[in-house]
Amino acid sequence: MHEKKSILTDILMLAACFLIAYPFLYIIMGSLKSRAEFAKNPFGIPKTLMFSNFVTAFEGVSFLRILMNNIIIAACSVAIVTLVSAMAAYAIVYHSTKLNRTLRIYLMLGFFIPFQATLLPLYQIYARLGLMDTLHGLILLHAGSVSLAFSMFYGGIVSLPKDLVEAGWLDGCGVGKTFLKIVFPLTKPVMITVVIFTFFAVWNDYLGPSLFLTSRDKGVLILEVTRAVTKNVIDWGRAFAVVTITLILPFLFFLFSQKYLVKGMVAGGVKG
Amino acid sequence: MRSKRAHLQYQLFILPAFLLFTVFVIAPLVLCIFYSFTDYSVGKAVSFVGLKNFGAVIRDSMVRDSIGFTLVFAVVTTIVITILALVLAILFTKPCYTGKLQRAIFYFPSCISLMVAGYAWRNLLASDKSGLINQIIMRFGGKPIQWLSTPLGAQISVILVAIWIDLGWCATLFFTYIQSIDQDLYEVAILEGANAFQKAWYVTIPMIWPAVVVNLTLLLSQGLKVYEIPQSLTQGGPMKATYTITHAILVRGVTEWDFGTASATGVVIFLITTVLCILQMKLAEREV
Repeated sequence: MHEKKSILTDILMLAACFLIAYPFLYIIMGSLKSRAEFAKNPFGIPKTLMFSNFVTAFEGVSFLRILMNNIIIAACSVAIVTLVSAMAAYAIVYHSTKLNRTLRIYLMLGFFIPFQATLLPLYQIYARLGLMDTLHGLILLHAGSVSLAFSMFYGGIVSLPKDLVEAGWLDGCGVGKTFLKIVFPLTKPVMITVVIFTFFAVWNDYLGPSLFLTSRDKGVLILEVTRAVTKNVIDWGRAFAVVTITLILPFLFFLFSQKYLVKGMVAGGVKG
Repeated sequence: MRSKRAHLQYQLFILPAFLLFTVFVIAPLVLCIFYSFTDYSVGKAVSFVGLKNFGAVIRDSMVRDSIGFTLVFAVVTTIVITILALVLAILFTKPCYTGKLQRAIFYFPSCISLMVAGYAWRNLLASDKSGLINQIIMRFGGKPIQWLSTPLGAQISVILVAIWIDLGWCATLFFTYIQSIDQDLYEVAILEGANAFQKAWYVTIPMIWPAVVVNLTLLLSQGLKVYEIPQSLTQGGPMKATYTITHAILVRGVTEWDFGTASATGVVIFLITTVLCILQMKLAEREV
């Protein structure tokens, strides 16, 4: 359009942005306040910057270990979901038998199934399979939700030019080699979107860990936050220090992935 | 290349996804449907009770109210978020210098844990004079509002936090669709003497309406899964006013081991989600 840029729009919109961003500022500022200062001045700018909350957050429970749990669960879940759904999508696109066309619909049934409906039987299955309170149990839980990733990869692989793959066959590449050398690398845009969506879903999940990770040293950060803020006397500064740490990775991911997030939403008609 | 060996290899490629999905999603769902027709509990033989559990879902006031609040939450957030997001998306199209930054800030709340969102807002919405929002209201001479300590206040608070989370991504999505509208339509509108409101009402909104409708079903099915926001904001209270379907399933199932009622509740939310998804697909198809 030919309208001119107006600084007034900027000022008004940035004021609104401040309101939206304030809860984050509140958390970060809170994490830098001592107990006494938080009691006196919970909402304003801290008078002195105090980083000791971050130090005490690491004390006591093996905090680093819990952070590692978070990272392990997120990394493994993302890797498994990405790989298995890409493999399945590839095989179903290039080997379109009647069975596989049915399997395509089957793998997408996940869109219809809310986690709540599967939660109680999962509890039992986990107890029986010895997956309760284990990191791999939680990873498998996330790895099972392949529907979104699968449908995204299916869309990506179907639209690849067929002659590229046929060239691979002529060169003597087998099923596996064609996938690894040709198809999987070509799905990169889809892959990035899948990785981002899965990462956010896994990293921010609370219900899964709260049900299936019972012992403290196998827990994740968000469970520590919950523990800290459900005490009788809440040390908000320390709780917010832990929250700030949980926000760092999503924030970095968000900075680098914004355009893929929107693209993925437009393409998939899905979010999270 | 269509040899038997290749055929087998292709099937092996599907196997991991198939197994994971079957064991961790389909099998539990089938069990849930099965339990919903039985009186299964711990240390008891399973016997079929027909539709009794579904009757219990209707009679059990806690479960019924939880379903009620979840439905109200889903519908209200969907409508309010959609309206506000349309307005915000149109504001995003105003030419300015920091557009990208604005969209990023509005988008970010949807990238964090819903639990974190609830904990942050718990202090801002605190009922007495300690809450930030009440302090602001009092500064302007108003009376403090009982946000989290009355049932209605808590329900409204949960909805407010949900709007804070979802408004930005929704508006960004609509903004992306608006970008793809043919600019000539606006030129014509300007020639016809349309003002800003008329341009939005007669051009922008009709042009992106199909996408908005698809998004409605998405917001609705997401709203039905609500659990973390009330859990962190009010722990389902006060007086269970912000209990959701998930709370009901957890209390009846995990705490009280009443698998029958809990599973029937699970089946109810599964059926509602399925209907919504089919609706969404039909609408998306029509759009294409």
